[in-house]
Amino acid sequence: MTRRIALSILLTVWAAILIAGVTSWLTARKALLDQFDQAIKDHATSLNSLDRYAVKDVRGRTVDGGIAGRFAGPAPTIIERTFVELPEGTYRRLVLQVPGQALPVSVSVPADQYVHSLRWLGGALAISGVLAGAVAAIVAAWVARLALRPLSHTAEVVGAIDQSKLDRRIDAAALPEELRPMAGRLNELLGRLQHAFEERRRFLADASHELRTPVAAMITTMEVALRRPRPAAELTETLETCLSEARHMRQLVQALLRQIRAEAASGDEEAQDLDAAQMLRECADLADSLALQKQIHIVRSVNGAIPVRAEPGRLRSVVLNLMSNAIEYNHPGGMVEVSAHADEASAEIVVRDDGPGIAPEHLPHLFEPFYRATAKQESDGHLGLGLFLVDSHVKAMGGECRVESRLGAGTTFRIRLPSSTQCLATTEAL
Amino acid sequence: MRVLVAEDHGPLARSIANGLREEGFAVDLTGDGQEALHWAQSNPYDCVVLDIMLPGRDGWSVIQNLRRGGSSAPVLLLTARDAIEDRVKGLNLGADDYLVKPFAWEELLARVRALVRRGHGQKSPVRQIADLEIDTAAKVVRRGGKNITLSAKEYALLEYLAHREGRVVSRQEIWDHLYDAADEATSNVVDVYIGYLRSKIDKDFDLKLIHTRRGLGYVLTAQP
Repeated sequence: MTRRIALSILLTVWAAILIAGVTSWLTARKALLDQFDQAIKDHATSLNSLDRYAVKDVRGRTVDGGIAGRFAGPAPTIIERTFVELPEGTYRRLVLQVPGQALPVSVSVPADQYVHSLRWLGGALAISGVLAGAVAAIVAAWVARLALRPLSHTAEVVGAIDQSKLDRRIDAAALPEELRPMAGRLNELLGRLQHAFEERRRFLADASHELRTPVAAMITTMEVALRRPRPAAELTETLETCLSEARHMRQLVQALLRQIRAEAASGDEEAQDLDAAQMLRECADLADSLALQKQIHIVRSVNGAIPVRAEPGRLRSVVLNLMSNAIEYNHPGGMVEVSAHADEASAEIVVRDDGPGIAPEHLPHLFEPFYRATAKQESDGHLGLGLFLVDSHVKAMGGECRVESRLGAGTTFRIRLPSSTQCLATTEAL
Repeated sequence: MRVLVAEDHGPLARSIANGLREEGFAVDLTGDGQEALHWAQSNPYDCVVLDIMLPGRDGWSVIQNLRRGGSSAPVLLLTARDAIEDRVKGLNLGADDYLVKPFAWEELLARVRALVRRGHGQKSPVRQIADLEIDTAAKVVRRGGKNITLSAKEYALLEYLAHREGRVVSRQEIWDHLYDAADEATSNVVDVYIGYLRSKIDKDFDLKLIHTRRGLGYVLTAQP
């Protein structure tokens, strides 16, 4: 890019120098010649009677001579002008027609001085042109670098950013106006990357915390048990504790693998226009057997078609997750209702239960990974990843996930997804 | 020596408590931060083992409130995160030591013992009172070069008296440091254990080390 800009500047300047040089040389030459001819003409007209003249034939023999008479009357006109190469040098010859005279008069004057001046001028022009061209080359390279410095600086800043320095931004105010939008876009991209990395880092930290505690429990339990000989009953108890911890860890590892797989597969499935109502009915049928065990009644309040833009796998996982939660945390004899409605812009899927509800202090953290509303001992095997997965899936589909709950009255989850018509409209707008 | 263990992961908490009890510590156990703070404020613990991620009130808040209330009980923080900022934060808030899960049991035990010693102003694990030698790390007691075998409770009583060497300690104080909240023994058992200890430590020697201060309590000292 630098080379291209420098080259275009250079070619332009060189062309300008060439045109200027040639033009000035031509102009100067014409002016000099005109002046020279005028001088010759003046000289010819001012020959006075005392001047001698000679008329020679082609062989150089004098055919006439004597004292010249004075030109009188109107000024002569030039009818021919040429350079004549003679052994003594270059001559300028003018052929003048004197009014009233039958024969034209030819006047030749040595032109060495004139030719010399012209050569000297041409040389001077050529040398200064080459010098100016060289200076132009240097200046062009410098200007190109100067013009591109903000870009190369930006490139350096971006190049120095790795995952530990994602909080760095490009200083848009220090850039030329034309480059500011680019810097803004890059900064937005950096912001999104930073957010994604933060989330990933937090998830891994939480996951490692979740794994460390059962590992610590197993190690401590076994080390304490091994410190002295113990009766079989006590050792059995130790083994049972360790087994239950190991099972918990297996569950955790499987959930982590599922999450990793879900993320890896997220690029595989294409979002498509589908009928959410149909999918809700399928999910409700799947959840029926689970609901039957807990004597919970599933109410389907879905009428007509609900067109949404979603990835079917993700959407099914979201709905099933919410429904199984609603069933599992409800008391026997309770109710779970699935409903959906759509407007022009979006569609909303609602999973509502009349269970015990969730305390207000837990609500803001509900979608965080490994968050459990109940104490660990009571959460019997729940890892606190279900709602985190729901939220991740919904966000990945460009939707939004909300929860409302009142203690004793039940909980409502609302999933808002872009409707398929809305998606078409945006595509067209773009 | 009495220790409060505040850890919400049941199996881990129970193992730590059992292990410490077998080493002669009196242990109170809780899985809730609010309760941990309440207990630590109302009992004279020789050491508090405190998990950071506790429900009710996190470990940071427990230790902050404990120190604000003027308590100087040694605190060993347990955490599953080993970020340096976390460790520095804990120590700055007033924790005395820091252990990252998963840890080796021996290490937890050694750190708890060191914190108990430090809490009583002792650096060396070996205490020497006249010709009585107590190695608190190895839990070995010698008098006049001869090993003396003590039960866990007897040893705990002797260690506590040795930590408070030269000062009179009441029955209640001894009871508070030797028994956990769930223990139903009355402070009279202290007299019983003092009797056992005397027969093992002092009986065969002219220089008596355990003295009764009538109406006040007991004192362990080489100067009668």
